[in-house]
Amino acid sequence: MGRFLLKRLGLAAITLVLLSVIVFALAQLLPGDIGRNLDGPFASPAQVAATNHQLGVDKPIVVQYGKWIGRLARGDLGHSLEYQVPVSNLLGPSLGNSLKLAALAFLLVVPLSILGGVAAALRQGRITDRTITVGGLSLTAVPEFVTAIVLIVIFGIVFHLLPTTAQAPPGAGFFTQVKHLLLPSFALVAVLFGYIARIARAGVIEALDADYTRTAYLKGLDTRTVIRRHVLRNALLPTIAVVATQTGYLIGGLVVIEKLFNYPGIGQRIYIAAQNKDFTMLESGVLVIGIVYLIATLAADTLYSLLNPRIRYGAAE
Amino acid sequence: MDQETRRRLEEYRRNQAGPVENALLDDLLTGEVDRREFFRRATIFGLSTSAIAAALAALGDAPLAFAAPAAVRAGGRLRVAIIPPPAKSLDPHTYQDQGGLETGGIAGEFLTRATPSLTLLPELAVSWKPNADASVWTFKLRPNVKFQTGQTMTADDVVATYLRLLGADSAALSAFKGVLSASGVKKIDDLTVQFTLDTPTASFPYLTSSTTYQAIILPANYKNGTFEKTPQTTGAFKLVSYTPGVGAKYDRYTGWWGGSAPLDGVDVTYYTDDAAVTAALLGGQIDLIGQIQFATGRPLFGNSSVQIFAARGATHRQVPMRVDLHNQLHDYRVRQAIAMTLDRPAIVKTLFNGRADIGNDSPFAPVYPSTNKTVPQRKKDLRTAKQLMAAAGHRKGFAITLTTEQTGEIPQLAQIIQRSVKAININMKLNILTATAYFAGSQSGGPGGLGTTPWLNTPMNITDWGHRAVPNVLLNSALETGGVWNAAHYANKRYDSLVKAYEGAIALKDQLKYSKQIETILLHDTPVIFPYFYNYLAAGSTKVKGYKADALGQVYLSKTSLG
Amino acid sequence: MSTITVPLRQSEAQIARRETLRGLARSKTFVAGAVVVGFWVFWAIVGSHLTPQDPLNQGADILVRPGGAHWFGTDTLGRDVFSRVLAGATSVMKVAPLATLLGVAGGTALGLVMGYLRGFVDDVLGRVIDAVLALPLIVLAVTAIVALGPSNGTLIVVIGAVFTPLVARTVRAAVLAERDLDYVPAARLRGERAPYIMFVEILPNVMGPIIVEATVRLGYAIFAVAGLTFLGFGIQPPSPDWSLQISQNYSLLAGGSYWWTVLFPGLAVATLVVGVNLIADGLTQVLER
Repeated sequence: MGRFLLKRLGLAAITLVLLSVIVFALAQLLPGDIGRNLDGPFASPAQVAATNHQLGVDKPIVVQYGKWIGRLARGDLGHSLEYQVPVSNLLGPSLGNSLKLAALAFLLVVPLSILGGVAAALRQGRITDRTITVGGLSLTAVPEFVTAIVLIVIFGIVFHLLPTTAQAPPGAGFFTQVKHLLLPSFALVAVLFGYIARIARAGVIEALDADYTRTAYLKGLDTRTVIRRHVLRNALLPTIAVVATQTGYLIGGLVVIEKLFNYPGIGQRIYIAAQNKDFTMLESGVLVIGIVYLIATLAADTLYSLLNPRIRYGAAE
Repeated sequence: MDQETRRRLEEYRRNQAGPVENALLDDLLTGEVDRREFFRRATIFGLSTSAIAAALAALGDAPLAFAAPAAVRAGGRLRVAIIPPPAKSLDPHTYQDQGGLETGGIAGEFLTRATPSLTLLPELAVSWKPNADASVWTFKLRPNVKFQTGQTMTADDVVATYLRLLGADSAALSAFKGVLSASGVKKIDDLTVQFTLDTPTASFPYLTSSTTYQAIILPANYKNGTFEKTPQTTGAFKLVSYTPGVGAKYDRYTGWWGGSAPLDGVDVTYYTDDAAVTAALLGGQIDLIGQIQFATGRPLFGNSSVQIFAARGATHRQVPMRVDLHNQLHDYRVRQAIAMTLDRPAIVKTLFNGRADIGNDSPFAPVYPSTNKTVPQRKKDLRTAKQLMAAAGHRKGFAITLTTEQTGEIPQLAQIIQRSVKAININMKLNILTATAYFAGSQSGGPGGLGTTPWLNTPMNITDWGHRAVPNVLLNSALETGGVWNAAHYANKRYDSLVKAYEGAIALKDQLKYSKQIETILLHDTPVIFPYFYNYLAAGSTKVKGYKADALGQVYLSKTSLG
Repeated sequence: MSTITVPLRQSEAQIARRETLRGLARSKTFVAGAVVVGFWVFWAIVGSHLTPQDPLNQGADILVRPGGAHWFGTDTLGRDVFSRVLAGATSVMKVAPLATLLGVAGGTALGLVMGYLRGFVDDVLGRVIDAVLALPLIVLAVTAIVALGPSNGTLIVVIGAVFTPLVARTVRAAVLAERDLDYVPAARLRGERAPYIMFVEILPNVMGPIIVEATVRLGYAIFAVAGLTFLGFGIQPPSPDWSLQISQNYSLLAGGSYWWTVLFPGLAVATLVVGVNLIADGLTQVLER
């Protein structure tokens, strides 16, 4: 177990380094420069050059990368070129916001999808199954911005049931914050439910067919116990894998949802940084998301191997 | 007119009024300017209230009564949405976008304030006078104004502010170029500042007003980068907290010279998306939106829980067509033909539901008094357009690409233009870039002299231009030979000399004479299409009282209350 | 020996193929999906030639409610929404399938190499893939599209590049299962080289999962095109592309106003993605039974 974790951590570190290089290289392809973005189209070229010099972006790429890595090694995420405050001041709260939204969305969608998947599998081929499968599929097929807009209009504006902005006023209590996050969470549930329920359903069907299930029934155990003890674990395994892969999307890929609900999440930060060529923010932001993603994948893999005895005791990958 | 008023007026004209003021009074008495225009110019030239009243009484009007504001309810915090968020730090002399100017403008004040009708009111200056040819302006400052740091405002602070505005890193340089340099700013005494201009400019006071949004008066010892850390302006609200990209908080400043603002404070949230901000207002999350666009804020109009604030202004779009390339646009007849395919009243109806003025392909917006309205308005005329194309040898048409930015209603305007020119067989392709990409690149050097940036170099494009109180900057930078923002690469010596003459003209009559010639030349050459000048729009809930939209977008909340 | 086996193998393959097709025809999900997708493919090809009105024709009647002459109403420039919805299939159909093809081709090649060769090559490529997967799609998209200009080609390249690692993972897993079967070591004993073994021996046997993966990816490609166009990075106006219509009109939705400008293009996207997913489902059922 320990060796497994160590190996994974080592690989993750290599991935992160590669990630940082890729992002740095990509960012060079962006047109324009941060100086022009900050000073506006009507500033003189001399002013823009001065701004660029002050921000240190007229140095060679390798030098800039080196400086950034050096700072990172000391735990310093750098200085945002656009806002001229430390990146951590802005990334910290943004990441926190994204994590809150992701947590609420997961909390809602995972139990719902597993329930749905199990129900559909148990009544395979019948009305319940069809409804859940096709319904889930249709919801997933609708682009998340359409679902989000429909939710905003119905719940926020027509019926005034829920707030249309996801950011609660500062100092708001736990329940107020949750209330504000409900609408975007619903939009995310709509997107993910069909996919996760489908995977859970497939896992349950496979488990129901398996030898050990038949053995359990033959042993005289009732349906509920069989499900609880054997089938559920099988449904959970692929679900965990799927949920982990969605983490990257849920943390850094929610640009559209964050835009529509005016939620200052990390997706927005990175998007704006990419548009404005704010290198430091972009680099550090992507790296942070990468770390979260890799932690989630690692946690999922660990959980997976814990639940799946075949992997726990073998070295096979 | 009674004896006393006549006596006062004569005394004023003899002893106090200079040639400029007297010329204006003559214009009023002979009917050259109407009452409204007289009032506007009188405020620019700094005529005192009693002089204005006396002059108008001389015409038989009732003396002006400046009504006191109706009794308002005090208290409450106003929730304002500002879109987009300010970039970079909040030093006023670096403001170059809506987010910055609105954020600073809630807390900051200027020497003078521009009203929605383009008149000027005293703010931190109580009076201002030009010399004989408007080349030297003397401003008297308001006494006993306290900065939020506790210091009292004196001429030293004003001089320091303007020196900063004229420094190399100031975003306001383009406005002051050729008009004022650092050597011309002088303190006369603790409450008097004198500006000696490089060129006589009758409209100089606008440069000290809220229209020049970088000109917020700050203490002489102001340090860059501290605006958001310590409240140090003179306005009715002090900025107490600021998170980039997220929001800002202001509290009432009890030491304000103007008394006490009705609101306890202001809570600003920054938005990046028009739909989100519309939903927030309709859902009751916010009370006021600093700026809305008709194209994206349509659901707010006609909604009984929303009030729309409008200010007629000169915000517009320019559609330059490069005159210097070896393509079909080189021929002025082709450019005229393109301009003639546009049904401007229909465009204004479709894009703004009528809340805009039609443009006549020159920077002279209908809202400017110096716009000569006797010049015929260009109309849609396909027959003449086709004849022009045939005369230029392009009856079969040609292909061209229109490049532009993803801002407001511009993509829709682009699609309308594309559709309109089909009638003269022009096959137009659209290339709509993000604003960042559109303004990226260098602005000088290269084959055309204007670098590589798309907005100054593509054969045909659409650029957004903000409101200006007078058209001077547009006449210069956008159309003069060698102008830094001359996207059409237009070069016409006669035009250049007419613009010089226009800017030096003080009397309205002379300005109109020159503007007529300028407008006529531009109609003939059509280097740029100016399709419209649209109203500045803001929206708020019906609870908001005492708020007026400003043509530039300043969010002025000192007189605003909730209910 | 070999001369006897070859004809047998051929007719076996033919029989298998016929079985598959028959199975597909019987699968209700597959047929339903095929009908929906077929409908949109028809309109994608036919485009504005058969629509009741010209999708680009602007008029003075802006934002008219559905009914009468305009079944789906009109948009902000007076264009007929019904015609625009029908003609909007073309742009998605031009980009999404090609992007998917690019991603599947790249992913298959990568997955075959990684799954067969294993060892150092697998480890290195695996790390690069992980790095690319950890990158938020939006960063990749912004960079590429802003650097290369907004065009169909750029979208295809970006989406294809993002899909390659995902497909590679699936193909690699399938290859891992195959490489220990008898025919692979047999081929190696025969003296065949690695590329031959990968592309001629193994590839046909993993086509099943690849096809399923391809159809699933197609659904995601449509999604990705929709999202990127929504953010302003794809197809240019005045194209009646569905996502472009949604992105240009969604701010009109507040308060329930002008819903027809967004609902109908949204439904179009949804039905296409559902159709593709149904086809994928049907294929899974038949090919993996």
